Amino acid sequence: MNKTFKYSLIASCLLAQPFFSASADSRIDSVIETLEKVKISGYVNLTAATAKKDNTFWNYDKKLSATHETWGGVQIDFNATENLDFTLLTKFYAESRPFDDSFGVDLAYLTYKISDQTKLRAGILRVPLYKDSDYKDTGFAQLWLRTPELIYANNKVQRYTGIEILHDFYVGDGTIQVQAFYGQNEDPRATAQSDTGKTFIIDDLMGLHFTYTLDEHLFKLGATTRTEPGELEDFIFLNDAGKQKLHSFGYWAGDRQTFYSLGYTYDDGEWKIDAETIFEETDGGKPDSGKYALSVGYRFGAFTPYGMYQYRDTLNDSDRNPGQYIYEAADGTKTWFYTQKTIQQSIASIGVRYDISSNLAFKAQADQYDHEYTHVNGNIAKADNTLYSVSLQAVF
Amino acid sequence: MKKLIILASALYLQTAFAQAEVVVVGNPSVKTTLSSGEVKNLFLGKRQALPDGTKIEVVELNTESPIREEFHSKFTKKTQAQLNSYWTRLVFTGKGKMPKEVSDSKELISMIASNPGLIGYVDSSEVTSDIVVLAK
Repeated sequence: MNKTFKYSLIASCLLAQPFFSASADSRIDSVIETLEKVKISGYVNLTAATAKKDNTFWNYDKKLSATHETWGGVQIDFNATENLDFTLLTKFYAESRPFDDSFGVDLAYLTYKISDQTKLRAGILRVPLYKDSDYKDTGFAQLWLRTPELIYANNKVQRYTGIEILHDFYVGDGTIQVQAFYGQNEDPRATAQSDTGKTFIIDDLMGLHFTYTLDEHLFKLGATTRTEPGELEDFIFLNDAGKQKLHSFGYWAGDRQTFYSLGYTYDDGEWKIDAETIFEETDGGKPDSGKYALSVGYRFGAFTPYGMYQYRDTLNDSDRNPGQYIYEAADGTKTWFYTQKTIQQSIASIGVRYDISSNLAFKAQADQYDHEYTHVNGNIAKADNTLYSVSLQAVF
Repeated sequence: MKKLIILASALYLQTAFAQAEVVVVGNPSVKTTLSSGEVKNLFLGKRQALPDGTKIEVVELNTESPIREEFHSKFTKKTQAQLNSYWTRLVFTGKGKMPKEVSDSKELISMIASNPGLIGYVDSSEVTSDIVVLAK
């Protein structure tokens, strides 16, 4: 009996082996098939910088910091069907940042390919505010150590939850890509300045952008608009003396802000020229701004030295005068707004990019910053600083 | 005599190198030729179809291949680092996907021979009757 059982067991095992092998093979095939639909990419920026003076310049002072601009991202693309993709980009920072998590989901969206020329996207998406906004954090994608910060920084809306349509029009050898989007995003800065406990949402973020590419040339024209969230009453607070004051978020609550951008890039593999002009217009007394940037680089083998100049100026200076834009609380306490009549800032930069390999670059950049603020009462404040930065930037 | 032999050898080598050039290839069912601009647009993901409307996917040789470097130097005018930088912009904005890569010319020719929707590039000396030259 024992012998019969033993032989039966061996026979069963021998019979079952092809079945299990076939099953395991099909499972492996299935896993391979799924893995082939997944693509993982990423980027890392390791930046260290120090300023010449202690008046803070982009959060740098004389102390060397290697964490302020050190960050990375990992993107997973899943090709669900022939026409449907899912993308998830997670981002991490070396140091915690105000109004941004140190690790978390940066973007997450579905892309549905309607045709070869038309895509519909929905989810958490990047706001394509300016020419290089889409990939501003991916240092390796740019010539410079960092994007022209006078233009690109301080925009509180970097992403939104909504929908977007992308359509390519073919014109001769060139392509015009039209990008239209609509969505909303939380404004954590407004939330932090209100004692109401409310969450403030920018709920009408929309834009229309055109990008024309032909050979070595790229032209971008765009407009993006949104309304500042909340109501004036949401941002009244009591100061240390117990007096009612109003935070600036309350003064501009409900005002519409519109960004117009015109950008150009020339890239023939040797010369790289970038130029951009941006106008920010806001209802009410908040200063309108004109921002301008020009950069030129030339490649010598793996080295590309470059120079860049950025300038920002307020446009509607005659709108701001003494005694204007005052909020008077019920208790008679006054809060003054828009007290700077003119703001002028400039940054002149020189730098070099060295491609260590096809996916790793070393960059060094020096920036000379100058600003001049003129108060409505005529007082002028000037400041300057110099920033020295080095960075290792990689993609995989 | 020695000088003449050296000169003849140099001329022979020069001719051999001049003959070897990278060419863009497709399936024999493709009945069109491509301009340099059209090749550039296809390999930079700006177009997904041939001028006659035929849907196309491009296939690249892997980054170690000297033919790949020669191809991009000739048609897209980009180094490998510049190409990575270019594709990074598209990939991290969800506006494009990097082309498929194969390990060598044999694999590429075999794929194109069996798929009319693919184009790639090889050294002209490797062109077989299974593929046709679309651009030089």
